[in-house]
Amino acid sequence: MAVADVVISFMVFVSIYAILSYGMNLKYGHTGLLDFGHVGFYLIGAYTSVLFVLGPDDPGDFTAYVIGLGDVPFVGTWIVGIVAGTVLAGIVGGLVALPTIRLREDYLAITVLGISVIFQRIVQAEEWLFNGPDALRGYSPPLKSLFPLEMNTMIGAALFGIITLVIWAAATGLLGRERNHESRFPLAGLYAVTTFGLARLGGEDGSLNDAQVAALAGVVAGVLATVLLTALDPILALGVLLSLYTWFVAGVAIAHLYDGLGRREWLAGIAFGTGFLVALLPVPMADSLAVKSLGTIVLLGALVSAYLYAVRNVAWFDSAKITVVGVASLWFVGIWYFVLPILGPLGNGYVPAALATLFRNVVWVLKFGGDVGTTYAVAFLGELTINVDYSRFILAGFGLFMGALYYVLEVTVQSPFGRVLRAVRNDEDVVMSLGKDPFVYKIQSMVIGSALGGFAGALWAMYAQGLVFTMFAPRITFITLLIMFIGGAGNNKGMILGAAIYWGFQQATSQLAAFFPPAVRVNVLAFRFVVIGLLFLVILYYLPEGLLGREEFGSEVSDE
Amino acid sequence: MAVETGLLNATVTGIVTGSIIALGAIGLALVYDIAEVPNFAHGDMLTFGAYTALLVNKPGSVPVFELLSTGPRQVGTAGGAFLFLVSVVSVLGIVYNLGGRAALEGGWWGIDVPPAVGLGVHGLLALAVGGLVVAGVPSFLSALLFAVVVLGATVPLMESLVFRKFREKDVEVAMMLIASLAVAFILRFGIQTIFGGAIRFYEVDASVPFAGGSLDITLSKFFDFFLAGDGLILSIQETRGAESAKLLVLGYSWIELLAVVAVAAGVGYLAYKRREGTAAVVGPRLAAAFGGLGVVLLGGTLFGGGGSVPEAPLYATRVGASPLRVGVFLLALVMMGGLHYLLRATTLGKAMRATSDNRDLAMVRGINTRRVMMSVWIISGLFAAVAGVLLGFLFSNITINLGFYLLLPMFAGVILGGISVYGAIVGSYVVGLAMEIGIFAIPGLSATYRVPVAFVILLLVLLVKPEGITGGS
Repeated sequence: MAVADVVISFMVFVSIYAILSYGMNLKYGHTGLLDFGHVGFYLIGAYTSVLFVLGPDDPGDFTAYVIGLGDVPFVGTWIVGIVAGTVLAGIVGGLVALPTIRLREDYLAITVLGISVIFQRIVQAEEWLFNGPDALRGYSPPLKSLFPLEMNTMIGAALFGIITLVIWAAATGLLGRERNHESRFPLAGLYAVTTFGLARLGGEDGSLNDAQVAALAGVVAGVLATVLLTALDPILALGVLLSLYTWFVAGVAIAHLYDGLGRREWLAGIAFGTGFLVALLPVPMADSLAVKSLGTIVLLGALVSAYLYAVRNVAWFDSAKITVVGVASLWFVGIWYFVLPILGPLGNGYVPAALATLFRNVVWVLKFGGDVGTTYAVAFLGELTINVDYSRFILAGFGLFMGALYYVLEVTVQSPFGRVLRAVRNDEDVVMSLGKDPFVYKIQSMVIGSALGGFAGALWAMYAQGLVFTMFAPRITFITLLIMFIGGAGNNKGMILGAAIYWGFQQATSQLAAFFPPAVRVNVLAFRFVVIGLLFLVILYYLPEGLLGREEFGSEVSDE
Repeated sequence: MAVETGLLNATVTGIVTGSIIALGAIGLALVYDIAEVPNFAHGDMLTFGAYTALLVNKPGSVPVFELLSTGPRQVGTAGGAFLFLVSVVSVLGIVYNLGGRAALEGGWWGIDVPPAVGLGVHGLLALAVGGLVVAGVPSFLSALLFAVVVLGATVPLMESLVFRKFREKDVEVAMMLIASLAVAFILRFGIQTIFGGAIRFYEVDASVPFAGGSLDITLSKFFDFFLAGDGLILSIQETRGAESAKLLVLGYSWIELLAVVAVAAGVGYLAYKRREGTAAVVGPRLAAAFGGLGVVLLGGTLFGGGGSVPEAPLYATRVGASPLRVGVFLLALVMMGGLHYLLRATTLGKAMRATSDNRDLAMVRGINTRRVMMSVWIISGLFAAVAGVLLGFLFSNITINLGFYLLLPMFAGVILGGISVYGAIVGSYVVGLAMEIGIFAIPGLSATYRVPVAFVILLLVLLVKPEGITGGS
């Protein structure tokens, strides 16, 4: 699997968990309700949505479930399933909240944890409901049969148009935020081009904000891509253009993020990133298990000690300690993504093969290889077979949901409703004295937060293509809490960052675990949870506000 | 003719389950109450105890440590030395946790002793425990002792390394909850990192010499109760394979039963009255329970004339109980009694109760609250070790989720009891009984629903009384 495909599955996980964490964040970060049973609503969303797309139960086969609405016209679709899962999770969230929300916060946490375990046990015990302890399968995600896309058909072109829409809108939105910063590139001009002139509708006096402009630009780009694909067959060119655009915007954003960084901070970051890479070398290189594990642990320990030493003794390092880790991670990921895959072919002297690998990873929008797809002969690279696979489409869809929900939530938390929620979190008596009932707002927060959990569950059901009760262990709640505390409770953007950090760690460690013999892989995979636990403690103690901190919204008070 | 098991059997099972839950819940409640940590890692402490005992019980099955063992259940000289060293260091570590070097010199005894005496006594104690552990390898009791001292020394580290730091930052209870969650992660997956995912079990020589013969403590004895026109008949039998051997038949007439019950109630009432108003170790309720129970046992032996199993009893029910289960219950009682004594009759116990009531006031009055805090964690560790090892033995399979499955019933018991030691004991038995009777009484409920039943009880109680059964402040 090419590195780009690893990254795409990573981003799908990030989007699901970001949405799940939005829900937790609304409950805890914004309203102060510690819901240790969040996974229960994830479960409800997942199983409910699946019932809408499963065909009617066949009593003769090995699976059993209560009802399958898949054959009912209109009702038996994913859209209805997702909506139903979301709504039901919200309703159940409200029902759970009604008796429990008055409890002390530690009692609340333990009680709702118990309720989520009850949900899980019901699924496990009742075979007629969701196939009991065995996996519930037999459904497929929407439009799956159309992939890999056939570009010469209208529907193929339209679906690629949708992918283009999402990617273009996301990149343009990011560019819109960066365009006013200083850069060696003419960002404002570029922004005018990539928004197809729509930028004029926004701005100071315009009626649209940046997010709306970006969404419109995405629509235009999507339509253009569809038309172009139907008329001609420029899939390779489109893929290259889209990919390069995203890389460019990402580069501009990173450059801005680390704008004020001095040379020594950069060097320190690069040194630590490289050190990390070196510390992991025993895992793929060494043969003996002892060297693999102990060698890596000793090297990592040395690296962490060096870091801590520098934090304690070097003033400038201490003030840039988080930035250095950020630079180090970027450097490490950059090497992993661009350099490591081409080392093999280069070492064997196959320069064209190395270039081809690099090209594939840069043009991440397209999938290369396989038997189906369009074949091009490109200079220096040789023949490339191109197609667009389902994971890219899923990513576009989930990314769209993640972005849209982010937007909606930001609007919500900045609205008067969101202000009351934060007031409930800070001081209930104040809320009461203003004539608002905190109880009502807490219930509403639980309903919306649980519905978001249910939505994430429905997406998970779609992605996983099979559900089993062990997927909904309390561990998921704890991971959600971790994500929330990494990013910063009360900060929706932090949920995306937290999910990205968590899943980055997960994916990296599972890749490393693959170098260990199968017999000890369980131990290695368990060890990473030890690391996660330690990381959790460190964050709680040293960064209780998370990486991004709490989002503060000043409310304007007029002097009338 | 086999007699069906019924409500009575579920009750007896519930008492055993409640005993295990109580052993865990006592430590949880102490820590929750006095150290103010709702400790999510408590379940995993049980797991840790269960796995630690494997080092003694089955050294050959422990990764890395197996290099020092000479057979599946034998340790060589090096392995023995390791176990000895760990035990000695653990015992000294427990004392050290109570207050550093000063504690090792006898500073926590409450009386003035020369440092050398304190050091000497603690050293001898440590050597004795180490010797006992090594001499007993691979017996179950030796494994239990080893787990107890190791947990007694390591569990307080959670306080001094993690929770004290958070407490110094004056964080909310919710933050403590989340921090303990992280500790639980580290503990649970730390165990899994070393032991992997395989299911393990203890190897215990189950037959012990008893009254001249040998007794298999895991084999169930069946107690059949028959209600007939002329009284109650109890028949005790043992089943091995297909044949069942009748051990003892006891018959009681209605009058005898009535008399015993009446006398028991009377003695209980008198004992209650006599002890009313004292704050001594044996308070009124305990005295009443002792008195009543004594009369019932005495009467049962005195009147237990021979009888015969009736052909057509009005009602018959069977209770299965193995000596092991009875032993678990008795051990729990002994440990609770010990804790009760500690709380009521020692300076440390008084300090603990004072700290629980009002920590600031206790501190002002010169109570060493840090020592109280550490002793609470030590007790929590000791009880968790016993509960974990017993749980591993009782279920005869030790998995990474062993303790976590018990965490929710334990929390339910603690919250039911309103976060106090005595409340937790009551709450645990309520939860244990509810779990077993619920599974028995509600048709169609499989064993998967044990924990849910416990939680439904908790929810119902919280609906009516949000502060728990015995809580109020």
